[in-house]
Amino acid sequence: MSAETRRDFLAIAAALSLTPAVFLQACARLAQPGDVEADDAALLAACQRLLPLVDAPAEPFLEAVRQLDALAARDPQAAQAIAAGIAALRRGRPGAAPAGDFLALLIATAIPVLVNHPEIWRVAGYEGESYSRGGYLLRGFNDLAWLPEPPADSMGAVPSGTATGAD
Amino acid sequence: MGDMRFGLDDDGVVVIIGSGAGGGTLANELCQRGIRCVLLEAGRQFTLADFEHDEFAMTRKFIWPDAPDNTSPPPLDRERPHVCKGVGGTTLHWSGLALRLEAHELAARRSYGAISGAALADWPIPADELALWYARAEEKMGVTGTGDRPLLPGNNNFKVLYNGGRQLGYRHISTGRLAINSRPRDGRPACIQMGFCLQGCRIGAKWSTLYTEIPRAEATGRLELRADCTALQIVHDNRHRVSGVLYADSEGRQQLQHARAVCVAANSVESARLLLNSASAAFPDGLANSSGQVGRNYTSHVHEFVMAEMPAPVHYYRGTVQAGLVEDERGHDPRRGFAGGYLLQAISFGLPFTALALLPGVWGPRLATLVENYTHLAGLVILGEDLPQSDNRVTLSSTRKDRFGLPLPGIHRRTHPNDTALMHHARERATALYESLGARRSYVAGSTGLTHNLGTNRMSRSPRDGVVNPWGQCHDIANLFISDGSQFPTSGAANPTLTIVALAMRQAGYIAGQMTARAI
Ligand SMILES: Cc1cc2nc3c(=O)[nH]c(=O)nc-3n(C[C@H](O)[C@H](O)[C@H](O)COP(=O)(O)OP(=O)(O)OC[C@H]3O[C@@H](n4cnc5c(N)ncnc54)[C@H](O)[C@@H]3O)c2cc1C
Ligand code: SF4
Repeated sequence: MSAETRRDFLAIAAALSLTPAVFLQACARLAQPGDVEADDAALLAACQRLLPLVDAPAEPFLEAVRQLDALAARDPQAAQAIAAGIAALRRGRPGAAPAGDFLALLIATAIPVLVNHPEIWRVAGYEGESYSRGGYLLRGFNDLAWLPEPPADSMGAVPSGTATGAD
Repeated sequence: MGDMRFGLDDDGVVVIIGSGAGGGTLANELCQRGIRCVLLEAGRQFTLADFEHDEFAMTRKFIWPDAPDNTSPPPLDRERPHVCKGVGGTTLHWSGLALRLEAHELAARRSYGAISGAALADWPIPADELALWYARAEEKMGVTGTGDRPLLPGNNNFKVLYNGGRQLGYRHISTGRLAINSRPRDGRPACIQMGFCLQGCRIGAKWSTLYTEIPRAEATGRLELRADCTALQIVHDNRHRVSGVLYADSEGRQQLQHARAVCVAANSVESARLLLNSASAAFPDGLANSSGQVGRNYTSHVHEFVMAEMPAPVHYYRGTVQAGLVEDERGHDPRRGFAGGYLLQAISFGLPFTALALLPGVWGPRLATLVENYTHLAGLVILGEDLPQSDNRVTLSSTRKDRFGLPLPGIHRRTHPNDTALMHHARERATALYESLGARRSYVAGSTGLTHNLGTNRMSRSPRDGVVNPWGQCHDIANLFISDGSQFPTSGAANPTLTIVALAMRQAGYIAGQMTARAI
């Protein structure tokens, strides 16, 4: 499979901003076994199974496939594991899970890409970088209001002129 | 950066290896006393602008890259020291909790009695003397809740810790004594609750030798900092005195810096490795190792994360990484079924580190559940005393070498039954703490990163029992000093850095005295 074609294919999917589920349906309809689209679809499906979010954005999973692709391009052993993994998925029952070296490689490569992706952060509600926005001092570091406020001898005061606590 | 330059053949300088908590502090303290120092640091110089709010990027930037040869039984075989390489050492990365060791921990052998399989020892420093140095170290580092410094305000993660702790009847709960400015101090601003303390504090509110001790030492005109310079071997003369340090400079060229005295503060694993790699005909088992104790009694801490999905949002990542402290289980109470004690410390990570720390190797619905409920997490780390065991040790790898051709460290650790008993107790308490507030799910995860590395050049009164005397001076070699946590005879339950700094300050006065008296 050519990395070049795969990148184009992923770029189109990304541009259309398809969710993986929709994307996969489309692939299943269009792809012939053994061609690039089918391989990418299988890889994408495998990545999606790593992190089956209810409301999954497309881009992080496409990025994970791109990273796997890049890894395969520079590491023949990884390329082999990916090819073998995809072949095994195809041979197996529909919906079979990735396994063996292929799974280990997905865990080591794709999961870090996914959990470090801003669109996954958005789903998670994680706000990330805060230096450019002055930290969380004024943005809810102590806004929890469903528990009683700890007493003054257990903590310091919020610097004056800034956020107040929940009380 | 300072522009002081000392000649390689200047044998009047003190050479310090490592610029972290121990080495950076010692350099400043010696320079303030008029002593000329060369500070060798394997890593590069960072500025505040290098500190990105990106967990993976910073790991790549400043974590020590070489993994040791770990021959421990599973699951400990996956552990590796988690320390920094850069000017400032692991004080770039640390989370700032600055705690004293307590009297029972400083006398572990006396307090706990003999425990099979444990090489317990009492610290050969009187607790009341150490208390004076602790106070000076707290002043230097600006520790909150000590002196006149207010505690930091509590973030959301603290509120959960506090309320859960109260449900269990705990009474000693606070935002903790942190070397983080709660108000502007010492030319550095107050903390603005950014989170990402572990990625280097971008505004310098957290104490690090990078922007406190080291520039101050340079301002005396008596420090030459040589970044990107890795010490390879400590060399000695015929009189069994060390005479200099062989190092690789930034271009990889080997240089020999002569020295009047050498102080090793490379963080315990590398410090022991350096002594072992400096073996010679006169010291066939490694420098300063007539006791055979170099590398032994390697302790970390009993160390585990407990995080819980709470019934309502917490956003635990907002604010300081170390956000609170429960001290009620710190004491020695054998009725609990183990010796020594532990602390519960509120802690948080960004989403990437949270996922990888709590569910390493896990994928599928469990990972998705964690991600989807990330905002509801509260978390803490258990930190308990790790008993020293003679065979838990740092050696030299027989198979693997670094890029300079020197053997990498080998590490071998086993868990003592006391550690296991302590961990079970702590895990149960920590889980109950969150369940008392209606936690929907909890995550318990060991850590493979050894953040606290201690004991590998232990301190003892008698030269038979340890590597250094109560001043960190090697029993075998009077002008060779150990200036990091490898001196610790036992780990106690507290994070080690305040003690490392206190010992470095105390050692500086001793070294100056020895030099004045011409004993070294
Ligand atoms: C994630 C994390 C959080 C932490 N949080 C806390 C906390 O809240 N409270 C606390 O008390 N402690 C904490 N610590 C521990 C704390 O960082 C260490 O105790 C402390 O930095 C150790 O000081 P040191 O001087 O021994 O070594 P370091 O600070 O690690 O410095 C050693 C330096 O030596 C250099 N070096 C090594 N070998 C060589 C060589 N051959 N030649 C030249 N240079 C060399 C290294 O590059 C490094 O810069 C934390 C650690 C981590 C990793
Ligand atoms: S939370 Fe405070 S100490 Fe931590 S990085 Fe931010 S400003 Fe620095």
